[in-house]
Amino acid sequence: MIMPLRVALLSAAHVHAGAYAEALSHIEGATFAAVWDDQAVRGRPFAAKYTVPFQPNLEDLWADCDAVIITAENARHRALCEAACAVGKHILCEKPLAISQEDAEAMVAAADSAGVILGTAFPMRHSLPARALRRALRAGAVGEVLAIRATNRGTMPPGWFREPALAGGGAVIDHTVHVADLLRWYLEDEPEVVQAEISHGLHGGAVDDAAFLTITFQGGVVVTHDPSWSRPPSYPIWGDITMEVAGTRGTLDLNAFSQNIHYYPRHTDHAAWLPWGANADQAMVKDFVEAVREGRPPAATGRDGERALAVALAAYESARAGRPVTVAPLMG
Amino acid sequence: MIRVGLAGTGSMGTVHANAYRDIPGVAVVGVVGRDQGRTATIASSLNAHPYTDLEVMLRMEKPDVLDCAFPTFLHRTVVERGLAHGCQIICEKPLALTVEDAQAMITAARAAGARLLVGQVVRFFPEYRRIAAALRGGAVGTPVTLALLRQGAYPTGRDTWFRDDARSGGVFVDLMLHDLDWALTHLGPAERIYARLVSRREPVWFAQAMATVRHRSGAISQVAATWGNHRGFLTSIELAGDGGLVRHHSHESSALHSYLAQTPDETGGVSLPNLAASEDPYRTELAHFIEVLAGRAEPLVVAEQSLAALVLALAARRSAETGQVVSMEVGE
Repeated sequence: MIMPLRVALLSAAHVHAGAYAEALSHIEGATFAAVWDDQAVRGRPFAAKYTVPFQPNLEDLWADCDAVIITAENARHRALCEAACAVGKHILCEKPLAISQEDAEAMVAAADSAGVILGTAFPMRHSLPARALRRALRAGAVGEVLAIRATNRGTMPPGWFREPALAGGGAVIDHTVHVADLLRWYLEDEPEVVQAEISHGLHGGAVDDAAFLTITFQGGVVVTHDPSWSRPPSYPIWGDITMEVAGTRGTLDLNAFSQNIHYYPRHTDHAAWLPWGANADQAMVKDFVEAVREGRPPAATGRDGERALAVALAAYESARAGRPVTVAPLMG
Repeated sequence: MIRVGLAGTGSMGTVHANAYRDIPGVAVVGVVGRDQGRTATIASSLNAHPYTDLEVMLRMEKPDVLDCAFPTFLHRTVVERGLAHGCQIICEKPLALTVEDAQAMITAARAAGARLLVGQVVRFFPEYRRIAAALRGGAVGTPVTLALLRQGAYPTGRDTWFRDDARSGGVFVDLMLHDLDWALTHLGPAERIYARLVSRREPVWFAQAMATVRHRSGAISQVAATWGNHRGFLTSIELAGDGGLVRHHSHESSALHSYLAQTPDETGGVSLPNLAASEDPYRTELAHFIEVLAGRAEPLVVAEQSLAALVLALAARRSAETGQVVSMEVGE
C-alpha cells in the first residue's frame, strides 16, 4: 500500500480553489491535507467546507504536506512557490504562473534547483474535446495548419481579479494563457510576434476587460484571439474556449464548453447551461499527483506556464507601444 | 479477473471489444463470429481465441460471462446456451423481439441464479445522466412533458437483417426502445400509447416512428425515432416540469466539428482520426456491468425494465398498425 500524497492548498483566493479541493477529495493516491491562507476569514470557512485543517502559519504547514497547489492571488505566486521550493515541496501553480517575466523565470529556476516538480494549472490539456482536436491535428486531418481563430471569452471574475497590483492585469493575462498554452501544444511551435488592442470599456474598472490579439508563430501560423470578459451575468455559462483551425485540407471547429444541458428555471430570470462533459480539473490534479509519484514532468510544466505568460505580457507591451512586439525569448 | 466470452463481431460486437480493452479486471477469452477473418482480427486484438461456433467457445473457454452482441433474433438462443454453461449474461438491447422470448430469458436467468444485464446504453450517456441528475435534484419540479428524438442512418447488418423487421424488430423495437426505456425509467409506467410510422423503401430506405405516451403519473412523452436521415446521428431530449425546463441536443453540444476536403490527394489520403470528444458510454456501461458481476455494485438496469420497454415498443408498433390508441395493462 503506497502512502497517499498529502496535498495542501495555498490560499482560497482563486475561484478555481474549490474545483481543485473537490478534485483532491476524489482522487485515489492523494489526500487533501490542509488549507493555508493569509486571510483567516477566507481560509477557515473554505477548510471547514472540505473538513480539512486550516493552517494560518505557512511554516507550520510543511510538516503535514508533500505537495501544494497554489491558488493565491497572481502576484503572490512567486513568494509562495519559492517558500515551497525551499522546503522541497512539489507545486502545482494556478495560471497565470506569475505577473512578470522576472517572477516566472525565478519560479522555474527555484523549482529546478530545489529538484521539485513545478506544474502550471492548464486543465485544458486534459479536456476531452481539446484532446480530440490535438489528436486530429497531429494525425494531419486538416493537412497543414494555416490559421486559427481562438476565443476564451468569459464573465468578469470578482474581488482581487479587478485589482492591478494583485492580478497583474485583467482579461488579457487571465484569458490569454489557456489559449497560448493550447496553441503551443497543438502546433509544437513557439509564438513569435504579438499585436494587441486592449480596452477597459466593458466594465470601466482598473484592469483591462476586453482585447483582440494577433499572434504569429515562428512557423508562420497566424492566430487571432479574443480573451474578453464580455459575457454579462445573464449569460447561461461562465464563458467559452473555441478554436477554428483552418488548414490546407479543411477546417476543424472546437467548442470546448458546448457539452451542456440547457436549464431554464421557472423561478429566476435567466437560463443556465450545466456541463455534462468529463471533469478536466480532476484529470489535471490526478496527472500532477501521478507526476510527483512517478518523478516525471506533469502535462504542463512551469516552463509551459512561463511561455504562455510571455504571450500575455507581450500583448500588454504591444498595446502600450502601439505596434507588434516580439515575445520574450526562451531562457535557460 | 473476470473472463468474458464475446458473441458477435458486427457493429456492437466491435464496440464492446474496444470498450473491454480499456476496462481493468476483464479478460475477453473467446470471440465468436461467422466471418472468420473479422473474428480472428478482433480476437487477436484482445489476446482472445477466435471461434465460429458458440457452443465450442463456451465449452473450451468456460467464460464467467457471456456477452451477447449477436443479431436480435438470435438473442434468446445465445443467452439460453450461455446460461446452460453457467455464465452470467450481458446482452445487447433489445433483449428480444417478443414478450414471450424476453420473459423466458428472464425466467431462465433467475432459475440459473445468473445476472441478465441488458445494454440500455442511453442510461450511460453523460448528457442523459446529467438530465437525470437534474430531475432527481428537483431542478424541473414535477415532470409534465418529455420529448425525445433519435435519428441515424438506416442500418443494414450482415445479410441485411436490420432491414427485416422480423429479425430486427424494426425502428420501434430496435431504435425507439432506447428512449421508451428512458421515459419509463424516469417518468414511470405508461397508461397508453399512440404511434404512427412513415416508411419507404424507394427511392431510399427511410423509417420514422412517432409516438405519444401518457404515463400513469399524468406526465406525457413524445418520442420520435428515425432511420435514414441524412444529417448524421443525432439525439435530443427536452424535459419540462412545474419547476423548469432542461434540454439537450447532440448537434448543439458537439464539441468538435470537421469540415474536410472530400477527395484525398495523391499521398493516398488521411486515415480519419477518432474525433470522440467525450467519455465512451459503452465503456461506462460495460465497466458498470463488470462491477455488478464482481459484486461491487447494484445494477442500474434490470432486465425487467428492458422487458417493459419492449412491451411499450411493441404496443407502439401495434398502434401504428391499427391506427388506434393502445392501452397498457397495470404491471406492463
